[in-house]
Amino acid sequence: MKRLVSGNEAIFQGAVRAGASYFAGYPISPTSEILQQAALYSEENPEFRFLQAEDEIAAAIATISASLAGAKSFSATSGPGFSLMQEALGWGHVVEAPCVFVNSMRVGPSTGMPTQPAQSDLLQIKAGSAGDYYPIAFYPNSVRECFQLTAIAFNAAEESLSPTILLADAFLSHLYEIVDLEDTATEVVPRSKESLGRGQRLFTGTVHDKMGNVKTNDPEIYRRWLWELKDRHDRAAEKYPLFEYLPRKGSETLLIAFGITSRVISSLKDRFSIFRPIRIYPVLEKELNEVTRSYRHIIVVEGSDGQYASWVECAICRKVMRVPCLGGGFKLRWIQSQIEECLRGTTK
Amino acid sequence: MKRIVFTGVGGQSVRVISHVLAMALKELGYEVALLFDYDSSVRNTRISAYLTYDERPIENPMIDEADILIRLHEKGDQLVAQKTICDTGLCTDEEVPFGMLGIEKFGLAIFGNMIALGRLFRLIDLDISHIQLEKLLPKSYLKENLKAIQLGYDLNLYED
Repeated sequence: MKRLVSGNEAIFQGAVRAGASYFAGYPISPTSEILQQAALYSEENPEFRFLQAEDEIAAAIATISASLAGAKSFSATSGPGFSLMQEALGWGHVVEAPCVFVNSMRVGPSTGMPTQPAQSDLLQIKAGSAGDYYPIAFYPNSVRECFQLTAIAFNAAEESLSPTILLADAFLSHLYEIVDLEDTATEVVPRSKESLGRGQRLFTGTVHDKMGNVKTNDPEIYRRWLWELKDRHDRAAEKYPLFEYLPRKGSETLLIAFGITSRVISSLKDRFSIFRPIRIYPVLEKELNEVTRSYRHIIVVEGSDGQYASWVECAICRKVMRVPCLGGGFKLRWIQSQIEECLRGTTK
Repeated sequence: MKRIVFTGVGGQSVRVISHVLAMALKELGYEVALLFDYDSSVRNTRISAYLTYDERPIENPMIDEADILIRLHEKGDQLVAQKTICDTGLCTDEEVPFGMLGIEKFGLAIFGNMIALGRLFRLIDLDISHIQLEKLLPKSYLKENLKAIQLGYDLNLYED
């Protein structure tokens, strides 16, 4: 049945479709509605467990612990809450706990502008915890995609045996569109790990061998563990090389945008080519190289001061131009004027 | 495609009236995108609802320039619009004393917002007799809200 659904509700429903049976969180704009949905759903569905924790640290640890106990689990927060979850996220990678963390971004740092959208947590979701690890992250741009990509994030979590990230932004969370969620097809990867209570298992954040025995003085064991983890993540991510490419014949300029920004600039598709990465991490290096090759100008339009633009430059070994939409400003006319300014600068 | 922006402050039911319009348009078979932009305090700080509808899927849900702007409070956003409807003293286009009418007819200024919604239904040519509004409105004050929408719909501002 077609309904008017918000991005936040679609994220929650996508999690339920994927088989989620546990949510832990702490209220924060703009994802509090996901927590509310989880609370209401748990009242009517006792097999679904809900915890409003005392803070985001506890919520993240509870989410990972529920995964270790056998549940498909998830949490939702925004930038400041995600910062508090970072230590637990690193732990989640070491103990190989498949689960999903939603980060709907708002203007930071710190409390920043709580209700205004941003896209400036790309660096903290990639490397905000200690050490080397390889998070997989997806970023929808519509209510339907919020549903679909949440389910995909759960699948990738099971396949990589790690926490995965679903990104959104304050506008996408609070965007209502008409969708038929019941009729939206999604693949569901079954739970990959046995739950607790079956045999002996040791969960430790310290480097360990395959049996879970702590090994803190052997570089070879560490290297073997890390390469295995990286390989598993790469294989899981390769299943989802998700992007959208709208070539404009004759255009010398490629715009790169994602999330709500890609919706705003979509009306420029008659003038420019547009590339939208949907899988944000691992960065779509091969796809970016193939697509950008034929363009003279590349402009990354994003809600941060060039966080994704830096990844693009690394991937294609070329300088790109940047239109940073800061402070929640995502109006098309302003973006258009900035693109024109970028292009004027190249013709001087 | 039509772009409508509601703007006011928290507590004026901007969310409710924009949601009711979105649901009504959905019932009539339109594609709708509704986006909220608001300040972090709930009461008495600005809130805007951007509503776009069309027969085809909506690409950009943000609105730079509206076809119709409903401005309900002086703190509400000002933006370029083909037509602006506002409460008294808030614009130079179509001024309607929504708040005063709400007090006069229903005892509370807040009903002015449903009167404004009724006026909007008329302006975008949606025949409210074809919409089951009672299913779309909040259960509290249902009778009054229905009457307020009808009042706004029947307003004859230009005696044409």
